[in-house]
Order: sequence, then C-alpha cells, then structure tokens
Amino acid sequence: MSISKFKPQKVSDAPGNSERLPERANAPFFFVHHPGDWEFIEGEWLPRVKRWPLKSGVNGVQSGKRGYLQAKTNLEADGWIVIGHDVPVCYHDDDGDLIDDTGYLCSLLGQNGQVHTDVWHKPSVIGMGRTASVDWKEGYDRAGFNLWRKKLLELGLIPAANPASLSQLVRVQERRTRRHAKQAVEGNPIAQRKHEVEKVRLEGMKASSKKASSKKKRRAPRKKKATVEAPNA
Amino acid sequence: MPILSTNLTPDLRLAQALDQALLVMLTDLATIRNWSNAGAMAVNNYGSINSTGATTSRIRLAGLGGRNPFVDTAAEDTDIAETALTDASVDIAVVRSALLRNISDLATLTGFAQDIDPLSLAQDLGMSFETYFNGLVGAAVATAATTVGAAGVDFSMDNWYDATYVLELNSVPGPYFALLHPRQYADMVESLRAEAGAVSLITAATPEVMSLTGPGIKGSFLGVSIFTSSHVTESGGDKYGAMFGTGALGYKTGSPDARSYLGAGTVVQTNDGSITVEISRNPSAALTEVVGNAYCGLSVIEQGRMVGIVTDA
Repeated sequence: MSISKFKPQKVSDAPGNSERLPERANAPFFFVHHPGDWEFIEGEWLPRVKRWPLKSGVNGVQSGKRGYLQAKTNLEADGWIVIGHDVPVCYHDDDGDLIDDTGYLCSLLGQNGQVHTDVWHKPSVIGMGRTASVDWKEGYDRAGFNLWRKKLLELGLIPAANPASLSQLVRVQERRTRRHAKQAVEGNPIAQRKHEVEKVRLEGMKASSKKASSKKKRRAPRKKKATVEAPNA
Repeated sequence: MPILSTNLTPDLRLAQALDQALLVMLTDLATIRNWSNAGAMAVNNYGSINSTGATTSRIRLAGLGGRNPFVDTAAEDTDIAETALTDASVDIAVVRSALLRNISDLATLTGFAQDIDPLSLAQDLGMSFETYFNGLVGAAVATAATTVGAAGVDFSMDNWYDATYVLELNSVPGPYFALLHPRQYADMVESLRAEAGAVSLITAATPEVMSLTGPGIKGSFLGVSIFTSSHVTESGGDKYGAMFGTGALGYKTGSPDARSYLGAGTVVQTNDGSITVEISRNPSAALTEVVGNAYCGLSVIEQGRMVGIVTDA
C-alpha cells in the first residue's frame, strides 16, 4: 500500500501539480459565517465558518465565472459574513511552524477537474489505481484553522458574538446536561461520567459567554470589498 | 504428454475470458429526489422555469398563515396600528448539467448480450443525474445557518437530540428529515447502543421503499426519516449533515421540448421532463453519441427550517 502526500497549491492560472488526486472535482468556495453560528472549543467560543460553494445551481449561484455575485449579495443581505479570498491566514507548515500568509483557497488537479480546498488541508492518497482513496483528516491543520478563526475576531472581520446567540447555544447544552442528569440518577456509571463532562462544558460555556460577547470590537483594516474573483466558478 | 490448459494458451485457450455479467462499480445509488416521510417530500419541487422569461426563479415567502396573530386592544374603541406584512424571497438559479458518452460501432457489435451499448448508456444517464442532484443537496445543506455538533467529535445521540430540539424551538412543522454522511450514521448507530429507555431505530429498508430511493434510506428514529449520502460535504474530516423540516429545501427544473427541435435524433425524456437523453449518430466516425441534459437548480428556501449537524469523521 502506498501513501502519497499532496500539497495543495494556491489557486492561480499557472499549471500546478501534475499528479491527479483521486477525488471528485468540486467548486471553489467562500468561507462564510452566520452571526448566530458559534462553536465552543477548548474553553472558548469560536465563530463557525463554513464553506459556501460557488457551485452553479446551488443557492442561487448561476452559471459563469461571476455567476455567484447576485447570490453572494443576497447572502450578505441575510446577515451572513462572507470572508473574501484575500484575507490574512495562518497555518502550520510540515515542520509545525506557524506561517502567516494571505488567501485560503487552494486547488489540486482531481479526477474530472479541480478539487478546491484550503490551506489547512494536506490530503494523502492511500493505495493506487481503483483502490486509491483520499484521506483529508490526517493532514488537517485543525489547530491552525482554529487559530485563524480567532484571528478573524481579532481583525474585526467577524464581530464579537451576540449574547443572545450564545445564550441560545447554552440552552441547547443545558437541555443536553439535563438529559444526562436523568440517566445519571439511575446509577449508570457511563451516564454519570457523561453527565460530569457535559456539566463542566456547560459551566465553561456560561463562563466564557460573557467574555466572548464583551470583546472589544476592533475596526476592520481597510480592505477591498470581500470579493475575489473566483476561478472556475 | 497430456494436453494441459496452460499449453493451449494462447492459441486454443484464453488467458482471461470476459464474464457475461456486467457489474456496476461501487457508487452511491441513492436518490434524494424521491425521499419522502409521512407523505411530505424532503426536497420540494417548485416546478419548471419554462416560459418564465428567466433562468433564475424567485421563490416568494409571505408572513401569512397566522404569523401575525391578533392583538388585544387597550379599549374597545382603540385605533389599532397597522401590522406590516413580513416577506422574503429566495432565488433558485436553474443551470445546465450534462453527460456525454460516445460509443463506437465496433465496441457495440463486439459486446455480449449484457454489455455497454447505446441503450444501456442512455438508461444509465438517469442515475448519473440523480447523483448530480444529490451533490446539489449535499452542498446546500452544508450552508445551514444554525449548527449542532462539534468539529472533531464523533456523531452521538446528543447531536440528534440537540438538532430536534433546535427545530422544535423554531416551531418547524414536521415531518423531519435527517441527511447524514454514512460515517455519521455509523456513529449514530454505535451511539444508539448506549442509549437507555424505549427508543429504537426503525429500519425501513423494504424493497418498496428501496425501489424509490435506492439504498440511501435507512429508516427513522423518533419519527425523523434518515437518509445517508456520500455527497454530504466533508471538510477537515468533519461531515456537514443536516436535519430539516419539509419546506427547507426546494428545486426547480427546466425541460426543453427537444423532440420538436430541428435535427433532433432519438429523444427520451423523463415524465417530469427533468432529464432529456438524446441519441444521435455520427456515421462518418461510426460513433453513436448518447448525451443527457438536465436543467435544475436547488436552494435552501428557509434557513429556520434546517439545522446543520457537524461532526467528526
């Protein structure tokens, strides 16, 4: 069994990897954040940023290179924050050093076109020929991605969390903790352990909710409108 | 000297003989388009864009149906204020997708009874479109505005309950649907083993159901229909599934009247006109061209009716 590491290339018109990743082609994307969508990780609230695919036919994206413009405008009108392709990013290189760079979108040559990914992913190919599969998890720089999300808050590209948004998420956790409490009462040791974990998490969420929503908003650096022409859209 | 098979190869025997059977390679044969629960479709079909004058259709949403209840008046002669009507809209952009196969006459005539030929290629295009459609749904649900679950943490029944809780909080009318990555479903089944109480997964993989949706349908849990698809978005090893109520997703199609077009060859269309397959000859190259065209667009219609489920692989 062979394992080959692929290094994603920054999107450009110049030819990149000559090897093909055994993966379906996908559309380029913007990272987007909804003001109500937050994640509690390692004792702090981080904004969830999701891939918003510039795939024609999905969510109003039309065909053509700039077919996403109207859909993007609609998305922003609904309160979403679209993070442009030219924002500062930070990620860890193969040696574990933190790299400061600009732009998150990367692409590789796939089976039937470009496979778009981001600077935090380094896919590995396991096997060859028909049995080849791609592992995206092993080479994923989760720590770098989380660091970048913090950076987005620091730069003011994503505003601090609205207390109401966080309290809604805390309520979900409260309900979860209550559910485990009911099972823990019956004496099941697994349920008791789970309840303890969820209770600690709930306390952590409550404690950091205040902190997260009171973070001083720094003015975003002057930059071009968060739109970069997406290749192959 | 005995006559051995090894000595007869390759003059009188073949080293390898092709089997008569033609098997389909492992692929996701699920059909989300036909997925329904308690009579409601998971993805609503909002019809065709034919003769509408645009490729993008604006789905209109009005705050009717009791969204604005009556209000008490301070006194019997109070002049009440007007309540503005809430409205919204969502665009569905219908785009073309297509697949082309070319097969030579020699490739066809040397085939076995059960083999690749223009007819079997044409029939297969329908499934190829369904796979494309699954990709549209997978991409759309990954953009849910509200999310439960945590990156890097396996799917558990807690995520399931959290998701139903969020939908119930938003008063999302049922029936509910859960579109999960096969990995999320596997983790769910594993987590379900540790659950206490009288809850069980109802598997609904009957031949009747499977004939409509393919192997994607897994059954239901607490009334929520479960469907798995490999087209659920993956990022960083995390899977972006979702749970939603009916009306969260919608699609539109366009159907050309290809039979009436000048120079049209053999044209086959699905009943709803969403897939058009044309077979035409290129006699100078001794090729038969089989091409499928479909015009379709899909959008999240109302974010409030959907909750994303992000969990680890």
